[in-house]
Amino acid sequence: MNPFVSLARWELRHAVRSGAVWLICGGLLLASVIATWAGQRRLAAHEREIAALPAHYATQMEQVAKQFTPDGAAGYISYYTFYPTHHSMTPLAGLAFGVRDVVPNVIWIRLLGIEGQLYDSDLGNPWVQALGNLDFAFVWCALAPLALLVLCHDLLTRDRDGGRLPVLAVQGGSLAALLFARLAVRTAAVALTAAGAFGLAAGWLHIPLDGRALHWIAGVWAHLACWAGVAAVIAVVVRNVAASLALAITAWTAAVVLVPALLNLALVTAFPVTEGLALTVKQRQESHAAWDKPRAETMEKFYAHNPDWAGTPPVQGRFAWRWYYAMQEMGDRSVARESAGYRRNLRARQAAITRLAWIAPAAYAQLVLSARAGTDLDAHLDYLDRVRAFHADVRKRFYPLFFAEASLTPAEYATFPRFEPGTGRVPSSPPLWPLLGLAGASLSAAAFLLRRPTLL
Amino acid sequence: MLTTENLTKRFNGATAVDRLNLNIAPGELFALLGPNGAGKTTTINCLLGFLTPDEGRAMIDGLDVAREPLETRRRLAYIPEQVNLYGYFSGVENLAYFSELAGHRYADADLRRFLTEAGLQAEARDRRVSGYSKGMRQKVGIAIALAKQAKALLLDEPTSGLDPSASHEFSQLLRKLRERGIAILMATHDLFRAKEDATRVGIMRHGRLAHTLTAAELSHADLEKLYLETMRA
Repeated sequence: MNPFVSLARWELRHAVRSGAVWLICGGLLLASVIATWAGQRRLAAHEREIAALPAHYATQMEQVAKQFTPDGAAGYISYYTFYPTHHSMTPLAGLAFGVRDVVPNVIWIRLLGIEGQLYDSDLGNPWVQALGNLDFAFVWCALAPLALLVLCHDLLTRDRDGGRLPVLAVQGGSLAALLFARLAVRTAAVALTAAGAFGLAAGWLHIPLDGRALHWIAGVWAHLACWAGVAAVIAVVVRNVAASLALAITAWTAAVVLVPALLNLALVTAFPVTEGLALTVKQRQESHAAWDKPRAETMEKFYAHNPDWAGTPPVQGRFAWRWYYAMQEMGDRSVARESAGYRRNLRARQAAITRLAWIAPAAYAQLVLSARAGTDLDAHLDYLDRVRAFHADVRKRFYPLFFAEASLTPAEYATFPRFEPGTGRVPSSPPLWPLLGLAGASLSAAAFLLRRPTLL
Repeated sequence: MLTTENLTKRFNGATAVDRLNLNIAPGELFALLGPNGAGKTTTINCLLGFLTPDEGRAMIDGLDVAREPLETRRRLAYIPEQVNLYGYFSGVENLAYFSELAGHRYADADLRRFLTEAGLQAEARDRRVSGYSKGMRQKVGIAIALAKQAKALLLDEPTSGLDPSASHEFSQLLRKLRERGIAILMATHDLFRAKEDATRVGIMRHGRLAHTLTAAELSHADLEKLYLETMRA
């Protein structure tokens, strides 16, 4: 028998007998089941919310029809018509909520300025803080590293403290082989628990076991490999169990809690964003200021951006719907630069994290899993872009009616645009190689340090 | 087989072993006597490759321990003063595990034979080691050394904690091992066992070998007198 296989076989017996492996893997499985249950409830709530949208919309349009019978001005009807948009969830979202519970998944918009309608719920850089969420991804990005460290920090110190190391060394020869066999068995136990828990969750949440699901579990495994490397280094450099446990907990706290918090602070400072509320206020002020300006001034600005309507007769009287909606559009245009900067800097924060993976592997893994589940910040910004595009379509549909000062009958409401949720772009996910690279580097470091082990 | 050439080891400036020269042939048992701190355990740790000598060298079967620690350990078996085992394994399982680490896969019957040879009572073999006495664990340690089929054996106070009859059985076992041509170095405080079991006896003091004697030419009284004189000098 291959000596490593023989070692691994024995390590399996050790692991089975010692009890710690059962306890820890059982704990992780239980936490995963609870997290999956929470995810299932969240997905169900989301589906109920989406399913109710057509009925809410229909009720709203009945009210509008009652008010504008037999017909009403298109501008007036538009003022009262809210269009539901929603960001759909894949079943994987039930395992990694990402930013989804701090951003809106349903936004009702109408033809007023779009900017003010997008930020009902503001966002900073919540995906880092989202580490605290008890979802499946949290169990495997934050808790599993701690579990793995507890299982593996004392792979050698346990025997040194127990006085067995000298005899082990005399019998076995290569301590590196012994260490890696132990590490492999314990890491495999945790990795298989992850796969089992994922299989269970896939059945429960109807997650199709396709390439994306495999990628997802590969992300979990790459992150575990990374922590196995950290555990190996701790097991090699520290001389006794108490010290290796202390170092393991320090490493976990630093990498899972402290570094992401500091990183968040650094990114917020490096890529400042105007608050959504500030954008809203500026847009509102700009549109409302137009009430007190000459109509022609607002319309001239509007024609500069919409040359198709230039040369239409000037607005007469106190009020015209085309002037009202032009005022709204100009409000949006007044904050276009801030709005673009807001989106650019939020994306820049997420991009920066992917480059800093090696100092915050848990946050990076969380990002990988939420990106693949379509719940990360990028996915949300994509949704906002789709809502923005839909709003532009609605404008295109109604501007001719406003300029023609047309009326609409309730029968025509059926032709109003509907938001197509779409899938957006294919969610691109940060690569796994930074995690695998970190795993490789730390395992190599452990092997290097074991060339001349301290045995006494 | 077991050789040291001017072996010297210092700890923080204090010399623990001072230019020690030993040469133990196959079939020979060399008993190293001396008080605590005389350098006996340090000598054994240098031969095991756990410590690197500051000067001189330790050799097993002609190989330098510092240069080829894995090769030299392969030729050695070692029984420490206190044998520590895995409490959740039985005696048989511990023996199977440690033997497999050394590259030997034994049939169950062979494992039991080694344990019997080491003096472990039959009914204890399948019990968890967590319930063993120190003497019983020591016997499993002996079985581990037997099963390794090494050319050389290093013993550090192996009989401390064994009752007189177990200690006697151990002596007989050592005789058998010598007859098989194994070179044995035993560090001990036990003058009686040293005289009974050894072919040669060395008395160490302050890291140096003060006397080397042939055991057969000594009486127990002579050995004790010489030991006490050496300690007083």
